Amino acid sequence: MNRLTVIAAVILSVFSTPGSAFAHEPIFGLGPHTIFRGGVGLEMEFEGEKASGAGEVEREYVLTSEIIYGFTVNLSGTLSIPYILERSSINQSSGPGDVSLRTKYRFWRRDGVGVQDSAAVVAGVKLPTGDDDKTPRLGSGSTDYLFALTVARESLKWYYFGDARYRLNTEGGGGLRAGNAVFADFAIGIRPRKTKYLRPDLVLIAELNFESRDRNELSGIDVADSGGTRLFLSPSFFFTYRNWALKGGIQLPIDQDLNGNQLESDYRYSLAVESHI
Amino acid sequence: MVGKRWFLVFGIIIFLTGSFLPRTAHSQVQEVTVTVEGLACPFCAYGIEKKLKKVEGVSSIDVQMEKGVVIITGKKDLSVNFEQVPGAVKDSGFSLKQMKVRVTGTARQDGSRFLLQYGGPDDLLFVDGMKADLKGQFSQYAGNGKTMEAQGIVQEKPEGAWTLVPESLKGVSP
Repeated sequence: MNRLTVIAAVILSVFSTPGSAFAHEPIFGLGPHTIFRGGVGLEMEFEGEKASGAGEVEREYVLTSEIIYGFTVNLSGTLSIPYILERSSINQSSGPGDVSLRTKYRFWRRDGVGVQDSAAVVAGVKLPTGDDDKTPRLGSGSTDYLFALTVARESLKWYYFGDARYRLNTEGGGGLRAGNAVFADFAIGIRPRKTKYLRPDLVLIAELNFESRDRNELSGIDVADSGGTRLFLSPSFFFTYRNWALKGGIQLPIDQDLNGNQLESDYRYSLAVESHI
Repeated sequence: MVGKRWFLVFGIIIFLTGSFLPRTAHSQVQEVTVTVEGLACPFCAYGIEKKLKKVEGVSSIDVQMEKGVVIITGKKDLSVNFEQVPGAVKDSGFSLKQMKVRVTGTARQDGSRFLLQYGGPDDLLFVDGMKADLKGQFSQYAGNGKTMEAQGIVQEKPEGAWTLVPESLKGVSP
């Protein structure tokens, strides 16, 4: 196994965040929100990440454009186009990343005065559009799939979210297959000050994000230095005015149990602007 | 023969313009108050603003999050097409609990049936569920053919007709 392939495998393990949030949802987790029928959501998200260990440092900065469309009030589709501004370890590369398509179906909703409970399923596919010949590679070279279940209670004061996600990865370029991954998130949010429509609104959120990744495989053989579990505590916020939203957060690792010799995540962060039109 | 054809064309034009033009009259639905469930955040409420503003005759909307109420105000001299409101609320992802209107129209009585005509000949509300004092007041307005203002709950019947359950009635100067 050559050194570059190992680096690629490690990077795939570290830098494969589960996809950005949408609307009034946790920043790193996933919620059951869908957009109104015929509604369009546009989002521009900046994500950064640093991982280090044994004198090595890896960094990544990604700018992702998303477009969301409400086919019905309960069914939305999202196209996500990332551009990797910098992915660096020993070498550095940049360029378009892997495009993904997701669909969300809200199968249950219960409304009350100032409160909404809902649940949704999500299915997505990540396409091998990123260049996997560059070093570090910008895409996995594989077509991967995402399945998720999410529930939420939102009220004028408190927010509760929970989700479980599974990512099924297939073999990409160079015979490398990133390990399948399970994610579970729980988030609690509070609106410190009740607001009115057409007034600025702030929601503070605390998220717990758990992820467990299987070992990567190279030509059918497990890569020893890959896979493991991570748990993050993620303070985040959501600031809105009418149909504009500014949201962001930082993921701080509180536990990392990684197989073999791997870089540990130091932090991840995200800042996004979203508008519904 | 030519005259007959022109008469037909003229008739079609009258029918089409009558169907598509907004309802204009001094008799009209001026305000609709919608009780909506599920309104939990201002950002999400944008959808309801967007959808309700597309309802014919709407000038402005006021979303009152804490009460779960949306007040729709009509344009001057235009009637709010309240029949489009339930669909707009549904398409925005919330649940409509109740719809109240403030409507100006002419009271009509057909035997034991009470009707409120608030626009053209087809713009009729079946008036139902009135208390005795309101019934007497309504009959009086129906008898003298005066314009009146009613406030109350509107509901769609399964057969598509709309009923008004008035909470208050008052005479309006022409």
